[in-house]
Amino acid sequence: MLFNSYVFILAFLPLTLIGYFLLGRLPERIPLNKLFLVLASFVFYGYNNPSYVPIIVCSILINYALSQMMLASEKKGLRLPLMLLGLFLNLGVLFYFKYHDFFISNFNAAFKTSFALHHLMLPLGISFFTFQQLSYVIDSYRRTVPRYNILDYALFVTFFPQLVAGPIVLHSEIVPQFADEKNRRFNFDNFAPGLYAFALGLFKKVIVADTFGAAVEAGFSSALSLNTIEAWFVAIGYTLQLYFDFSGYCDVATGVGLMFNIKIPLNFNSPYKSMNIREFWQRWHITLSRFLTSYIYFPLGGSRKGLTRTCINLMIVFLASGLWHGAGWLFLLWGLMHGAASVLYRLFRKQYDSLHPALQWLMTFCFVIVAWVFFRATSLADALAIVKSMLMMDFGPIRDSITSAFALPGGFRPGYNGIFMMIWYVLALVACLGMRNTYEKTMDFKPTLLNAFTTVVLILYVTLSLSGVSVFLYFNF
Amino acid sequence: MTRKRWALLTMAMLLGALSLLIGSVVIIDPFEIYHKATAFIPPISSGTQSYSNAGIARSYDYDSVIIGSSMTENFRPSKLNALLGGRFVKLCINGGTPYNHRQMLDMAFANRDIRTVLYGLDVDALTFFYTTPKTEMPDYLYSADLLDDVRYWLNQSVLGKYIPACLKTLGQSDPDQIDTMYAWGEDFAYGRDAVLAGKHISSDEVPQEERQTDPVLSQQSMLNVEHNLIPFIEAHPQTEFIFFFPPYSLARWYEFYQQGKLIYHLNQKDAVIKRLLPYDNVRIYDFHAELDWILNLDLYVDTEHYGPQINSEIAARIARDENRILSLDEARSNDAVLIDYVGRLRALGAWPDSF
Repeated sequence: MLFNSYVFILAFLPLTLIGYFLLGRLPERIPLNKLFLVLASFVFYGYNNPSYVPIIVCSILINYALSQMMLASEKKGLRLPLMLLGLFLNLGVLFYFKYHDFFISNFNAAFKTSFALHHLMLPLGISFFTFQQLSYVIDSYRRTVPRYNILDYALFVTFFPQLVAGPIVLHSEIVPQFADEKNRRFNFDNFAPGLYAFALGLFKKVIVADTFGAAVEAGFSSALSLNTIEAWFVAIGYTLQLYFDFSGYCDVATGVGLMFNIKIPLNFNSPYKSMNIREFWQRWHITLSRFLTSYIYFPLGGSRKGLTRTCINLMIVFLASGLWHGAGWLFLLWGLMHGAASVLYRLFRKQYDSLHPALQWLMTFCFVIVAWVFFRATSLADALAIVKSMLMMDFGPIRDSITSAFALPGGFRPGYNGIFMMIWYVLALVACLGMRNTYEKTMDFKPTLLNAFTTVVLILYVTLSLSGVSVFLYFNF
Repeated sequence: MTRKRWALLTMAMLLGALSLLIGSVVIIDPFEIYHKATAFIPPISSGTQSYSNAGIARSYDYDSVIIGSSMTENFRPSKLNALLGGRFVKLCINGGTPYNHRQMLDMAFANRDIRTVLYGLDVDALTFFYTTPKTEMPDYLYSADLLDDVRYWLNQSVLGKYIPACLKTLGQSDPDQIDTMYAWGEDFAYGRDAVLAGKHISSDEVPQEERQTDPVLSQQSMLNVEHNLIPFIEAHPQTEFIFFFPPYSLARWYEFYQQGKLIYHLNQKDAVIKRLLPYDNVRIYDFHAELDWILNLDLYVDTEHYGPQINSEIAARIARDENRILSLDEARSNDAVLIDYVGRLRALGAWPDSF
C-alpha cells in the first residue's frame, strides 16, 4: 500500500489508529493491540501483492529463532555458526531477489555463458527489513540485546510506517517505546505534530517530488541531446526530486509513527546544507549511514588502523552502500564516487576546511548533483552525456517537455511554463537550504491556527491530486 | 492553543472540508453516476465519453443501446426509437476496442433489461488485444463497489472543472442532448480533398494472404469474439443483437490493401459472420460494399468516417431489413465487389472522377 493513496489516507490509517488504541485499553497482559498492529502491517505490506507476505513472515520467524538460540547460549563457539547462518540466509535471500540477475547477466556477458535469469519481482522493502533484522541477529551474537517476545520482535520489523522504505530503525529504538505503558493510550500531544508531519511529508512527496519527477523524466529520456542549461536544470531537478521524495516519505513515516506514540529516528537532516561530503552523509539517509558504520566500517577497524586502512574501509563502505541502493554498475559507480570524495576529504581535510564556507558548500552541492546523475541514469552513456552537457557551455532554450512539468493545473497560460519552472526551482532550493526541515518543525511543533490551516490545505491538495479526469480524444474509428 | 484543541480543530476542518467536497460531488454529480441531471446541462462530450457513459448507463431511461466506435456516434437515438422501436442511448467509445464495447455492454445489462443492441463492428478492431481498453478507463465508475467511487468524489478535475461547468448551465436544459451527444458530423470538412490528403494511390502490388474458402478467426479475433461478443448473445436470448459492418470509403479498403491486410480483414469479417449467423437473436447487416456511398468521397471526412446522413440511412435500411446477411455467400459476394473495386483503383493509379 502506498502512503499516497486514498485507501491509506482515508481508510487504513484511521481504522488502524482506532483499532490500535481501542485494543490498547485492554490490560497490558493482553497485547491484542500489538497483534492488531502486526496484522495491519501485513495488510499494508501485502495490499498490492499478497505473495510478498510469506517471504517477510518466514524472514521474521527464522531471524527470531536464530537470535533466541544465540541469546540462550553462553558459548561463543555455538553462537558463531548461528550468526554466520543468519548472515548467510539474510544476505542470501537479498542476493537471490535483488542481485542474482545482475551477477548472472554480467557473468554471462563476461564468459559468453547463458545461465537463465530469474526476472523476479523484488519483494517490497526487502533491503530495509533485511538490514533491520541483520542488526538484531548480529547484536544477538554479541549478546548486547535483551530477549524480546515474538510479538515485540515482529512489531519492530513490520511496523508499517517504516516497513517499506525506512528509516532503518534499531530494535532498541522501537521495542521499548511499544512496551511503555503510557504509549498505549492515544495522546494528542503526539498526534498533533504527527498529523502536521504527515501533511508536510505527503505534500513533499506527492506534489513537489512528482512535479520535479516529470521534468527529470523528460530530461533523462532525451539525455543525449540536452544543452547546458537543460542539463543543469535536469540534474538539479533530480537532486530536488530525490530529496523531496525520500525525505517526504520519511516525514510521513515520522508523522504516522508519532500518531502511534512512536518516535521514529531522524533520517534526513537538511542534507543539502552540508559543507563537506562527510557532513552530507551525516545528514542524508542517516539511518543507513549508521547501519553501515556500525556493522561494516567499525568491524573493519574504522579509522583506528592507520590512514591507508581508513581510506580502504571508507571505500568498502561506500561500495556496499552503492550496491545496497540497487543491483547495477551505475549504483556501484555512484558509491565509488562518494567513497573517493570521502577519502579525498579525509586526506585534504585541513586545506579544504580553510576554504571560504560558501566555496565549501558549492563544491559539496555540485559534487552531490553530479553524482546523482550517475545514480539516476539508465546507462553510463546517458550519464556521461548529461555531465558533458553540463560543462559544454552550449546555451539554448529549455524544451517544452521539461517546462511543461511545471504547468499550472488545467494548462492555464502555457506560455509562462518556463517562468513557473523558475519559481518552482527557487522555492524548492529555498526550502532545502534556507528553511528548517520537517523533523525540526515537528519536534518543535507549535499548535497555531496557521499550522492547522496548512495541514488541512496540504492534505486536501494531496488527496485531490490523486485522481483526475483524463480527457482522451482519439478521432479514429 | 493546546495540542489537543489544535488536533480537534484540524480534524474537524479536514473532515468538514472532505464532507463538503464529497457532498457537492454526490449532489451535483456532473457525470450523472447517481442520478440524471435535471437542473443543468451535464458536460457530455467526446472527451469525457468514458466517464459520461457510466452515468448514462446507470441513470438514463433506456432499453436499447448503440455500441461501437465513432462509426456509430452520429446516430440519433430518437430516430432509432421511431424506426426500430425501444428507447436508445449511445454508449459509444470512439476508438474503442472490443473490450471497451464489452465494458459498455456489461454496464447496460447490469443496469437495465435490454431489448436491442445496435453494434457497429469494425473488423480491424478485432486485432486489439481482447482485454485491453483503448486507454485508461475510469473503472471505478463501472464497478459495483461504492467505495472505489472515492476517485470520483475527490477528483481534482470533477471539482475544479466539471462542477463549475455544470453550475454555468444551471437552470438550463437541452432535450436534444440525447441525440447530439458525441456527434461530430458538423466539426469536419467533407470531400475528396479532405479524404485523400496525404494519401498516395499507386498501381504497386502488395502481397495479400489467401482468400479462405472456410474462413477461420485468427487467434486475436477469436479471443475478442469469444470473450467480448458471444457471452452477451448467449446470456441474453431475449435481446436482439443487430450487428452492422460500417461503410468505410473505398479509399480505406485501398489502405488495407497497401498494408497487405485487405484479404486478411475480409477473411476475418467472414469468419465473424460465420460464427454469429446461427444465433436466433442476431441480425447482421453489411454496408461494406455499398457502392453508392463508398465511392462518393463527398460523404466522408477521411478514408473511413462518413457523415450523419449515412447513419440515418443505415438506420432506415436496417428498419427495412435491407443489406441483411443471411448466408456466408452473401457476405462473400460483397467482399468480391470490394476486391474488384480496389483492383480497379489500383489499375487507375489515382482516384478517378468516376468509376
